[in-house]
Amino acid sequence: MSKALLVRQLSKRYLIHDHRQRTLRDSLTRLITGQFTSVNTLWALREVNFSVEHGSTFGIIGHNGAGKSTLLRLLCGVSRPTQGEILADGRVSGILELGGGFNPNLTGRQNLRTAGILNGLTPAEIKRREEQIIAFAELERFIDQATRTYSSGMYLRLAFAAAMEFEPSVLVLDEVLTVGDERFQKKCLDRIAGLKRQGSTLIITSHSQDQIQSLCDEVLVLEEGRVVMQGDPQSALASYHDLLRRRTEERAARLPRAIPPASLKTEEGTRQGTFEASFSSVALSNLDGSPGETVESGQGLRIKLTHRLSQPINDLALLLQVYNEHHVKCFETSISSMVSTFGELLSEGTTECTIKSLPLLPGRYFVNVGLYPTDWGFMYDYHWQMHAFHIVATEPPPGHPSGIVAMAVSWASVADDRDHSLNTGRTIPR
Amino acid sequence: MHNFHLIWHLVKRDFELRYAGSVLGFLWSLVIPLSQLLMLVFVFGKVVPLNISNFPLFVFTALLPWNWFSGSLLSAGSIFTDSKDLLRHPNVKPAILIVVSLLGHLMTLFISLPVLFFMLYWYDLGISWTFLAAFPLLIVVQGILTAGLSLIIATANVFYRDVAPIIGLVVSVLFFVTPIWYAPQAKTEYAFLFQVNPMSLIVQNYRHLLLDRGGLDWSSVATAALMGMTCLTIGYLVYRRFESDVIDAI
Repeated sequence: MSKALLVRQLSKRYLIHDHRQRTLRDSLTRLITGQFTSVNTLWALREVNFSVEHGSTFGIIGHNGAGKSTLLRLLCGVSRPTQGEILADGRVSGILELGGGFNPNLTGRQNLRTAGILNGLTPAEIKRREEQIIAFAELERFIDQATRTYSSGMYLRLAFAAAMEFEPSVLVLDEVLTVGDERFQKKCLDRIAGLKRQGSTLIITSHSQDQIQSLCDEVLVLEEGRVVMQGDPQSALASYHDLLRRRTEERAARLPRAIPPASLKTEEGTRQGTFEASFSSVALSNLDGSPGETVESGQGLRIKLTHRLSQPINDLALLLQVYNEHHVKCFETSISSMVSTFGELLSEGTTECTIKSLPLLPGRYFVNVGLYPTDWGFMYDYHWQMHAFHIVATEPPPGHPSGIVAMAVSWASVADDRDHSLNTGRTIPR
Repeated sequence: MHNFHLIWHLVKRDFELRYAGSVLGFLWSLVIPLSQLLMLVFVFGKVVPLNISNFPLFVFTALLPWNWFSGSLLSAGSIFTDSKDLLRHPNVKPAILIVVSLLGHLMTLFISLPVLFFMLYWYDLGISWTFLAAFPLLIVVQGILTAGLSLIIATANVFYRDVAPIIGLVVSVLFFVTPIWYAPQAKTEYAFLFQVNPMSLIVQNYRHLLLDRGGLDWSSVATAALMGMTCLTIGYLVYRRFESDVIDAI
């Protein structure tokens, strides 16, 4: 097979039950009252087609509910397709969620043996690799205890070690890679790099766009269970942002009446959103409280954000970014839930973000702010390059620095015993 | 070959799980039928004597196949619902777990066999060649029947958790309409019960082979086999229809 993975016309339908456990009584009641359609169906994936090259790193991105997890579950075989097929050249192995895969009442070793058999190894092959896996997971002392006594970290280490030592030809990693301590994460990344050198294929999802951009060779964008595009990370991320914009527009169009945004005086940039919640003011000031859009390099900045809700909203997510004039992101911070961070959400309120120090090179910068629902599914109000400020340096730094970050630099020539130059130790005049 | 490894491993694993943390371990497979036997012999041999010759042996010949049947059925409800960790894996077809459960309970039957053979010699009956030849056939017929029923129960219980308790009830009723501790009377108005209950047909064949040293009653074995095949066909159809939903629903 020339591809590591080939997915053809893949569809997945879920039956949606009520939240409570169904019993015969419910069904009989429904039968009598004639409510046959009470089981709803949801198509989590529809006619998905894609292929993954051998030895590549393949990313899957999409908004919450776009079908990412369903697709990963299908790829790993945790769930079975309703229609279509998945053809894999070799073994697909993955770590999707904590808690699955092992039986809590069996010991780590017993679970490991089951996992080995399930991965198609013979008992002899498992015996050979067992010690290696236990050593990698650093669980020598606990391997003969029931996994229910394990901490989540131990559990994850065992799951990771098993998944990687069984040498899958396709390794599927969900966001769980962010769990576990840093040292073990590093060990895993090294092992993954090793697998890649041997020609294994990697499939990952991540909420970090930077990770997608730096790790992936190719990215698939999903939206509402369908493939939007498959391409290089750059264009995939662009398409992903485009989807966010489109979802916002669609939602705004569905609102009973268009909501005018809280008025705001700016001359440049663009503003986008449904404006169910919006910023009525974005004020920049220096740390001493004096208003102004000019900041000395290395000094701080305070941003006062006043939001207004035009209708009741339970919770908001807040995004604040600093971009330079050339659309390069210098910094980003976000609050994923205003309610859990600041308490009750009032119909009008002010949030203040203090950046203690802005180590940026002199130039023109922008504060971009956004209000989102907590699932980041669309924009209530996003301000792109609307609020400018200047970084200035009263004393120009030495050595013509360029880039984004202002670092404290000084230049010197250092005395060298072997060199009999006359200029030893003299500072280069600027 | 891989399926063989897998099933064998899972049967062993089932045993480990069942007796994890118990002192007697697999000996429970022996203790339980023997205490059942003791109880029945005490009640219907001493308290309310039925006057059946070789009564302990009479009960034990039926108790062993019955325990295989009832044990499998009683645990069938949770075969899928309790195996989330296994069903997550693409190599595990849910139907394999039915086979594993069936073999697991068959093991407990085999563990008790030496006791049965010992009793046969104790009562000077011995083991006939006819029995040794017919035994595998009876096992297969009962296996087909049990597999079919288990498949239906396991699948249905995923969607309706009432199924398992209902089966508990049904099995305890079946215990009384299967001639385990009594001999069915041919001329009563309830005689039909022993004709439509496949377990009754199987149990009576065991008795005929072991106690009367007779041959197989081919017509009753064929009837039981037919019922078993019907169950298996229905079970398979139900299972095929819901297979992909089973994994999502557990």
